[in-house]
Amino acid sequence: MEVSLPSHILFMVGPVPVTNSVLSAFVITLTLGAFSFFASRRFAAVPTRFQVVAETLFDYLLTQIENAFGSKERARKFFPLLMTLMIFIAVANQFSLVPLVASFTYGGAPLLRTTTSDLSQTATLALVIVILSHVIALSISPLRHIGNFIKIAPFFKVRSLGDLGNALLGFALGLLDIVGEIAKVLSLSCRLFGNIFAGEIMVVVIASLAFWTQFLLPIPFMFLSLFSGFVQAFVFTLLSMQFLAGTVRGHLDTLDERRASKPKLAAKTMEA
Amino acid sequence: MDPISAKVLAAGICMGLGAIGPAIAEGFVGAKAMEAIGRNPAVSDKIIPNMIVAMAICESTGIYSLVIALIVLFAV
Repeated sequence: MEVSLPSHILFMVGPVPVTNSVLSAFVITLTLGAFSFFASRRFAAVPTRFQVVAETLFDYLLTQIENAFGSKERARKFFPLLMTLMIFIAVANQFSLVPLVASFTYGGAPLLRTTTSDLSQTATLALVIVILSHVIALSISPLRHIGNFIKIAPFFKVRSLGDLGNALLGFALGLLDIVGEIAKVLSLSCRLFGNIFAGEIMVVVIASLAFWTQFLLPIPFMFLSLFSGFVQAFVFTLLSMQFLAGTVRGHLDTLDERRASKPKLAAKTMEA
Repeated sequence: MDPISAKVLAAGICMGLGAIGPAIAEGFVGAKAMEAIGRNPAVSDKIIPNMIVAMAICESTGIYSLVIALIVLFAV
């Protein structure tokens, strides 16, 4: 097994380079899609063993999302995104355990690789979550959301020197929150990438120490990386849920209040 | 000192120092969670996921130093 930090460009589709990590992400997506399509057709009132596992997992995550977002309807709206994230990452993390995957090569580069050990992939997932939270917040109440970061409003209420100090402090803290949003992306993506990449490197290092270390010795480290792969999928989902809920929840509350106070407008938006 | 050995040394020091903080923090989180489970074993199902998430957050500084070590080793 060979590990490299950047992913290899396999071919170009127009101006867009397709790397091996993107290709394996497509492979995982298609496999999971086909699998869930055929698995869900067999679901029945009397559950099979697989259905029990799936329902337990779905129910657990749904309760978690419900706690974070505050109501069942919202939880059902955000559930598909978060569940997809969890399943995709959990499967993608274990990709290096599939036998013979590393032996497919194309132009000297491996055709498939663990897609979450590529920083671009994890950064994309984290960016989707953080940008989505801001898009939702901006589309509901743009001025208030911007006002959460650039706090000008307290300056108009200044009555004394102490108020001015507080307003200045609030303004500086608001600017720090902007840095915090960037740090969210950084920490989410680097956490997943670092754990998976470190797990792979560990196995490679142990296997290449000496001739006899490549047979049985990497197994405990493989088990460790398998475990951390599942834990990281769980952690990524829960953290992105918290980030989404933290940014969006207050705005969703105001949206519900607005709808309750203007029933006609609400009916119109429901039709649309 | 030639650049390559400086690189390797920098990556090693970065990773070693960066691992101290997360190790202590995760120890605290694990110890407190075990304490709580010991007092009330019935809620262990609720404590364990929270413990794992808290550990993952403690871990982030270690992950940052890993990323910096990788950048120093491969990208610079």
